[in-house]
Amino acid sequence: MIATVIRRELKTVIRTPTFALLTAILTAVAVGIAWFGGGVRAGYVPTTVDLLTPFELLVPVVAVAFGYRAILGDRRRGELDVLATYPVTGRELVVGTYLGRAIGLVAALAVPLTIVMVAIVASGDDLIPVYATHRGADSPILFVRFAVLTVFFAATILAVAVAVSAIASGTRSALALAVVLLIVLLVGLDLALVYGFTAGLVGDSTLIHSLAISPLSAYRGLVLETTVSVAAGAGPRIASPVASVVGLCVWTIGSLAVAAWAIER
Amino acid sequence: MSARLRWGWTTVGFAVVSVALIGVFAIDIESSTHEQVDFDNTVSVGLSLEEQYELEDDVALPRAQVFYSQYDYVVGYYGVERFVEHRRQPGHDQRFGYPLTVLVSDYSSVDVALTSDGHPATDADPGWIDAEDAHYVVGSQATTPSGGTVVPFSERADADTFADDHGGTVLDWEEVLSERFDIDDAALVGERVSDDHRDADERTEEADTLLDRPVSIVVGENADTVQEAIDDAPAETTVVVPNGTYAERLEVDRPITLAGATDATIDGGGDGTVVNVTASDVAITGLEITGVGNETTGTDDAVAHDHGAPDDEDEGDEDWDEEFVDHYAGGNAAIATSGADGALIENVEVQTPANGIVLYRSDGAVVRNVSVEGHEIWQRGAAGVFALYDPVVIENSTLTDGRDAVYTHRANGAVIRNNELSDNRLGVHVMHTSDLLIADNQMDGQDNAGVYVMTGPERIALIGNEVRNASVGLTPGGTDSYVAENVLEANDVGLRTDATSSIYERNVIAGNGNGIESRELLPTNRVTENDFVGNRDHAMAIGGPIRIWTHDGVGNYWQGAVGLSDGETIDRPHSPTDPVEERLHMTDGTATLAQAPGLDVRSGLEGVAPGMRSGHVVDFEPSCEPRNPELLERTDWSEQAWACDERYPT
Amino acid sequence: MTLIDVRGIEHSYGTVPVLDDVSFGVRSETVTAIIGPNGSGKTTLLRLLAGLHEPTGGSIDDHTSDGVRRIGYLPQQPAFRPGFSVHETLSFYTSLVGADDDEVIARLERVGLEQAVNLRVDDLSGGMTRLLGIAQATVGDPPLIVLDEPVSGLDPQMSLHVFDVISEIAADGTTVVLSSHHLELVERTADDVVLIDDGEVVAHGSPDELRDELGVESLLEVYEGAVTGSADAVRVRGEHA
Repeated sequence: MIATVIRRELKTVIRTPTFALLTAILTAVAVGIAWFGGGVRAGYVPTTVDLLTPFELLVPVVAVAFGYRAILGDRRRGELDVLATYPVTGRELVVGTYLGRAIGLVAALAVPLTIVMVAIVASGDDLIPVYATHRGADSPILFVRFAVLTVFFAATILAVAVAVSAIASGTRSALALAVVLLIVLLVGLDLALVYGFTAGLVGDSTLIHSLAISPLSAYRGLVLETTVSVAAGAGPRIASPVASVVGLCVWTIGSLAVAAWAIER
Repeated sequence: MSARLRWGWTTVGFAVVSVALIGVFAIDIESSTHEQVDFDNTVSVGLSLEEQYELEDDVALPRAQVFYSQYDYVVGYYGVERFVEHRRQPGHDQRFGYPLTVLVSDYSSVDVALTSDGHPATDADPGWIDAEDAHYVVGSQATTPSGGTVVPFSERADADTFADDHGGTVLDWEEVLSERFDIDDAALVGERVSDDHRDADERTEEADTLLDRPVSIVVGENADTVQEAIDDAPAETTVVVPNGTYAERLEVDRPITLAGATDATIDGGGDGTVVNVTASDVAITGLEITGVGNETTGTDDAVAHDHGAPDDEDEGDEDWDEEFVDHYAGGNAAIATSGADGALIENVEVQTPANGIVLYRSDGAVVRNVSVEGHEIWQRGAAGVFALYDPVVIENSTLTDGRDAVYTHRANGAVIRNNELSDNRLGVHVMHTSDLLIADNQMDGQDNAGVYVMTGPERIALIGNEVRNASVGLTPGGTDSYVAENVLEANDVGLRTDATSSIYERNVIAGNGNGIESRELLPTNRVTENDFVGNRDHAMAIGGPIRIWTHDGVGNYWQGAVGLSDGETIDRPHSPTDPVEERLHMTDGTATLAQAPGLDVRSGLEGVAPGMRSGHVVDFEPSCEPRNPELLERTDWSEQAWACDERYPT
Repeated sequence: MTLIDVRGIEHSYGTVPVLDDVSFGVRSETVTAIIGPNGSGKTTLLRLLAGLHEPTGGSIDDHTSDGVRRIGYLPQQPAFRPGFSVHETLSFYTSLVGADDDEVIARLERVGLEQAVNLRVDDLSGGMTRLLGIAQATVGDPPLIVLDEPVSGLDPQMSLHVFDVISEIAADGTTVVLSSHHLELVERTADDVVLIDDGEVVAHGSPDELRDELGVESLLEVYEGAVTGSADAVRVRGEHA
């Protein structure tokens, strides 16, 4: 049942030129930044550092674009009503829709990440051959970690966007909700954390866990903790990986639950 | 395929992918170990080439090889203590990352004794051992040429035995890391400049007393020839040379003062060296010397040959450079001294197709107010003043048209100041000379470089020089150099930083093709408070990891750097190697482009993991206004050095 | 045999009452038409029958047997995922009930769309879209299908065809409940007619019974006689739902 819904979503993703365009833009930006920032020639970790902040901004935008009308379309066409007469539950519909779109989103991210990784592999630094060299703490595995975390992050934002698409009643309200969502995600939650921290609502000992409240901070913390700090060495802990993963999972599952509730309402 | 089977496969595939993805995070990247490499293939620090040559064959200095997380080359340290101190420097981690693996020499694997210099001598090459597993003897009599050194052993018992024999205490790695070691670094070199000047003043004052000797002979009155007068004059007296031209070649082998009148010329007739000085405390003043032979390289009557074998007091391969010295110092000269400790050569005018003045093993000799005019085609000339083996003072002299205006070879501690050096190939050519002070010289029109430091010496101070119209203004080399308050203008390259662990501060680098060309492999230099104005490219970096030219919150002034400012520093990093930012001072509109969010984000983050990013220079605290306005006034560029909050002057 | 018993249902959206004490039965394997003016509550009634909402009062007794799909539903303006072909669209619905590709073709043949199998749904005419919607409604062979205005906006010939298809479906043993303003076709096709006005049932019976009851010649006259109020005043009751 879910597979059927996934297939339908995938077809939609493939047939929507906007998604191909988004993939192309994301690829152009990622490759451009990695190339002109010199990260490609420097290695995997510098490239990760170069891409992290742009991705924090771009990935949510792309993920929201992939998801904010996913269920809304079915609702507006009356297909949700039709589907209610079929033996498929709202939960299955949400999960199927989400997974279908997520597969498309993963592909949209895989294209730029793969190209960048191949570019790093292909273009080494110009090292002076008389000296002994080693790769330091740099490793393709670190970049793969970054890629996996980016996909995880994108999948979380997509879930929130799918929830928006299930709640919204019209295209315009969905767009408005999506914009509000982006502002909250990109700025609002981090600002709230900053406020909470400075106002003393979030204590010194709990900040590292509280970071997981904001998907953006959770993602940033995970990337810094599992890739960048491996090369940069010791210091105050950057993030709590467990809390961050839990944070992202809660956002994902919670959003999908909201979407399912909105459909069955 | 049935739906059930398909689901089964899907589930299996999903599980495999999940495990792989989680596995990516489970792999422990940090614990990867590194195999030792041949130390000769490391980027090494802590020993100059000269010191290396002088070591006896069986000496094996304690060494460390370090694999950093963000540095592609393996770094080799002579002396574990040098690594410890190096690691303590601010910005070290930012540039290199942290050490993934440290290997140190293992003296348990060999028999070790100390030479009379305290250098560890062994019967074989010590092997390598992980630093964390070693036991260290700290504070023993063991030394490297730079001073006391830490000796590592894999076996605790060997360390105890060594400490019993040679003193010191046995520590483990963590304790060694928190020890403090005295290493002469560039900051000390800078602090020592005034001492060096004072020492040089004392030397010159002492030399001045040679001018107060009573006159014993006047050539033409008490003697027929100058040589006769020299031979007849009692020690510690003055031989006066009245006006006139004397066609003679002289040998001064007694401590006398040879004083020319207002217009006295010695003419060597174009064959060989004109004046040979072989005694200490000789003074030559007020002469014009012409007719120098045109041999620029060693021949049968080469100066070095006149003095037999090098003295054997010092141990080691003292004579490794004999052939070299025969070749280069063996050419003809207007005045050649050998063993003339404390000699003074003053107010001498020289015209020479070969060397001007050669100072060979003449400790404390002073050259002052001398003018040497070399061959108009420098390829056929030689050195204006050539100093070998001992510290000398060269000051207030005018040296033109030579191959090298001043050439030092193992003249550790020499002082070269207040000279005018023009139209030579090199202004000052430094070979195997450490602890050199090159100050307040005016250099113009050097074909190659104003100052070129070769062979990796240590602790050279380059201060207050002005270099113009050279191919390269200054090329400091080696380690722990102090380069400050120089004005480098209108050169193809202002400053080429081959030297590492060095300080480059308060220089004005204006109107050059490339302001700084950063070529060192180890990013250990401190580059602050310099003013970059009107260079085509303010800075470029060739190879090596990112350079961070900020120290203790102080950066440099970059003409054209943009950003908000509190009037002192600009709040946004400046990267003079960035393809857009490097043109900020040249191209209208770049200021807007450079502050585009996409580019801004990038430059802001480069500091997070910069080590592996090669060929870049970043200043995190660029200065709003020029740091050295007074020096800048001496260039044509002070008008162009607008503050960051001013508009481009039209 | 009565398949559905509607017993005194009431429904309101917030404080706006739409249906008030509506009762009637739907006989098995017949066509029941709901007619009435715009805003009388037809769509709401059909949605309640299709199980899309719960009535706020009363009950709908459902005697359908447990199948893979209980009720088929055609919304008033059916639409489908843009970019999909007719075949893909229907095959999505059939695979939801576990049926295979043959079923897709069979459904399309039944509504006369077999020629359009490779057309994109965006390129279909209004009538073809409606037929595809009806095909969709029959997927999984539900015992009851609910069709909301299956011919609104269609030309007479297409309307005729659609009603023919509906008759065939009913003849094959499926109970059909539909709403329509096309009274002639309703009169020709429907076994029972429920006339509602202002949320209440004002007449119920076969077309013959209704004509006899009122002594008129056509369903149109029945309608005109039963519906209160003037044609000049437009009602708004519940139509926004």
